[in-house]
Amino acid sequence: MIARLLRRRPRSRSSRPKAVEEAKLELTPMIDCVFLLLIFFMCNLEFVKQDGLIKAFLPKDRGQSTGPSVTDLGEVRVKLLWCAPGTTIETEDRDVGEVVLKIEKNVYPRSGATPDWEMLYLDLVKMRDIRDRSGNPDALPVIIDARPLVPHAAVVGALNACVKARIKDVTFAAPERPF
Amino acid sequence: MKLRKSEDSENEVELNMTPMIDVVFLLIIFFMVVSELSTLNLEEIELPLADESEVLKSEKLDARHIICNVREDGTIRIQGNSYKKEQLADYLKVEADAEEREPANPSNPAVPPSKLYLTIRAHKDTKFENVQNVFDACSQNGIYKTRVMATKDE
Repeated sequence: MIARLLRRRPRSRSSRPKAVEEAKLELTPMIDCVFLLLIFFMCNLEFVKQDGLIKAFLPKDRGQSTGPSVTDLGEVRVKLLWCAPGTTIETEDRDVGEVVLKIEKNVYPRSGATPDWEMLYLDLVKMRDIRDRSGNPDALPVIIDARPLVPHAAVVGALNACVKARIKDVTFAAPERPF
Repeated sequence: MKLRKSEDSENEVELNMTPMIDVVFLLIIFFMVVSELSTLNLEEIELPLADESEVLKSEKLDARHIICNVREDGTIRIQGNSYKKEQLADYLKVEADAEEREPANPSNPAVPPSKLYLTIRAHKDTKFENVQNVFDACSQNGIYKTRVMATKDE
């Protein structure tokens, strides 16, 4: 519409005196800019990266009950602790701690700020195979029990190892609640 | 010859640019609005790394899903709005109630499972307790179809 108004001209040119120069608006640079803007916005939409997703479904049949866990028998508990550097002593200090990985009763062979997810994966595969050979029809339940101060990346690392090991029943331990 | 020349100058071929410019402006407005909307849901957050994560393409179009962003400082943001832990539970209750629910399980008859999907986009260095708050609010309202967003490569 703006363009239409700008482009309006007198109908009869002959009535005008020849000496007066006709005022013309040069539209070409504007169209150039407009096209550049259009291309920019179109490309910008393409730049939005499609991030990956990992399914982390919560147990459907468990609410906020404090009763005994359904998967007490034969479950694997992957513990992610927040410990003082070089130790397995838990700390409440976010700044000086590091992630320590433990699997149910066994202190994990390698601990530190970057737990070895490849070894966790191999361990989970071994445990899954033992479970499959035992003839138990249920999938091996794995519970990721992360302390509140542990960075989210470590939890996703453990979850990733579970997905890689084709563990179908992965749950998260409920947060500790004060009595 | 003279007459023809004057006729030519009268019937000068002009390209009418007006409709094209109108359309181009409309396109620009469309792309601006769309890019604005997409950034509302997907905030700039450094996601954790997970090589097993997958892009789910075969998602049912009718299934509603919420994207929940958790910033490094623990702020929970959905659709550009910030929520505290208690507010999040209330918000999810409203959203879950608006959606059809699955038949209730005998073990937890009070909260029937919701058909709603919830995707958590949490910063890689945020404390897990912040993510746990979201899981907690979900389980309170029967939302069990939760997923964690991650990047596939660095």
